[in-house]
Amino acid sequence: MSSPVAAPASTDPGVAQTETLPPLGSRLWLYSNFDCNLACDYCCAGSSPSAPARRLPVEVARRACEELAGLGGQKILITGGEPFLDPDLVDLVAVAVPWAPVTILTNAMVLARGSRRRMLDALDPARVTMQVSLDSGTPDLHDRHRGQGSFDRARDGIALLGELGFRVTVAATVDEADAAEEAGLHALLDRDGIPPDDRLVRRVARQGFADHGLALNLDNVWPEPALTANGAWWHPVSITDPAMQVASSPLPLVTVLAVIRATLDDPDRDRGEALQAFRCT
Amino acid sequence: MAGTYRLGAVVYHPDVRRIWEDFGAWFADKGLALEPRYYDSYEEQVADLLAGRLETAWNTNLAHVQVMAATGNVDALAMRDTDRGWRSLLVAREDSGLRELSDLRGRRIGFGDADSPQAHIMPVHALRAKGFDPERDCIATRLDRDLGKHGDTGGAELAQLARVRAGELDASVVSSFTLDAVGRLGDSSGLREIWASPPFHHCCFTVVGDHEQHARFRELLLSMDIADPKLCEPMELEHVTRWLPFDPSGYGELVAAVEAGPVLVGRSDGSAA
Repeated sequence: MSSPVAAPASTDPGVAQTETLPPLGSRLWLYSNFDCNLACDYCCAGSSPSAPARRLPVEVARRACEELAGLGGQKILITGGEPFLDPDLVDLVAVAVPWAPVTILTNAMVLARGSRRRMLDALDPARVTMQVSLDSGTPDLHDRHRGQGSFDRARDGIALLGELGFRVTVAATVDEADAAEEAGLHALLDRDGIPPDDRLVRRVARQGFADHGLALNLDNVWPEPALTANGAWWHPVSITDPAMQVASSPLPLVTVLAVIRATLDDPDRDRGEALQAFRCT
Repeated sequence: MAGTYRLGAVVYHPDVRRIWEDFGAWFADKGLALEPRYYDSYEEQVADLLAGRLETAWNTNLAHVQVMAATGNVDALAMRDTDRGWRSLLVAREDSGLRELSDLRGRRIGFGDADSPQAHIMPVHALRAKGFDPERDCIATRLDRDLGKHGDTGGAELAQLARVRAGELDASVVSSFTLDAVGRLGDSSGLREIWASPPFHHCCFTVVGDHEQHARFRELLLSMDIADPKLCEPMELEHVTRWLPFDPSGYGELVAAVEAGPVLVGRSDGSAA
């Protein structure tokens, strides 16, 4: 599953916050679709093979990306679902790359052949970064959450992306109880030549399919606006939580950001220094 | 109770319906039966106001001026605090070396929707008054993104500003309202304001003729308090902190621009004319 699930960058609300909080309006998440070849048991988006696709219209993405660029935004991230199951993915990327660097979050399992391979070949490695989900250094943990055989196929996908010249980053979702697995993952990524700065290990968020993990709300996580075909959300991990929806429409983006800004500035909310980044990339 | 008070609102965003449903519930609590009617364009809304099918229309300044041009029996009841003192601005990149209007001669300048008072009609009129004709003195481009909405979405302004940041345009027109939003919601630090139009007012509740409930509607509107839990959300969505009495002084420049005749610079696809 390629959906972003991450833990706070730090439990210390002090120095780490000011270093890691992306300014509001600097990053925009686009949920290209919600269907997925996997049904990971911790997926924050509730994606699966049977999930309705709910594809983001390209024209909505075009306008959102232009608005973001006008506002001075600097990063566009495409996630799902598995974005490569969206037949419009190349068009989505095309309306985003003129304005900002693009990262696609993928499980990298469906890239080898067919229409997905043709989509991959149509993307420019110089302008698109691929973030692949890989949870452990051996198949056991990864396959336990994501399905039998998914570890080997993800590694094949990472190799293919590397051969094609894409910058590949890796994101792992690891329960606290399995934290000992992280050393094995880093050893594997060392061997595969994935630089330490291109790795992210995060905890499960209690969203979507996850029945445990970190509880997120408007008062403890710094916003990173995420757009779907059905509206706008406070953060990409929160798009199954009605309490985290900030607008019933993804456009205009400026209205989405205005609602978030007003919520941040609301003196009646118990927040401020408690807000922490919840890294997905 | 008197009959319903029919109010027109153009749906430039899906939340417009929510705004007026929430306002409508509040007015009902106060004994005024508001009946919002929704439109896809200001032209349709103005036509219904003139035909007597609305008691008031939540209009852009251009729609208000269009009603003024159609009938002398026009007034307005109120406006937002944020409707006063807008300006149309020409903005360039800080690192462009462009400093003043004369630097823009022969340069690529982006304008917004053809029917945007703030991103097309007003700035073209004001620039001409300064001796700078966009059709003659620069390479003007226009971006028609939301015709009928009079630039309410801000989409064309931000899209043109994106082209300025990307170096595809040398400068573009944004309203002071939009540039303020860029500063609050994004990053305006790399931009330089190189020209500003005279100030003008924006939206207002236009009325044609008398109606027994105009005064009550206005009285209730002006009494709205954004601290009221029933009003804080729709008022935030409507970008209003406080409703104010209508001030007719801020529409003269737009009246002059409309009387000067149709304005259309650049092509509608954003390319140069």
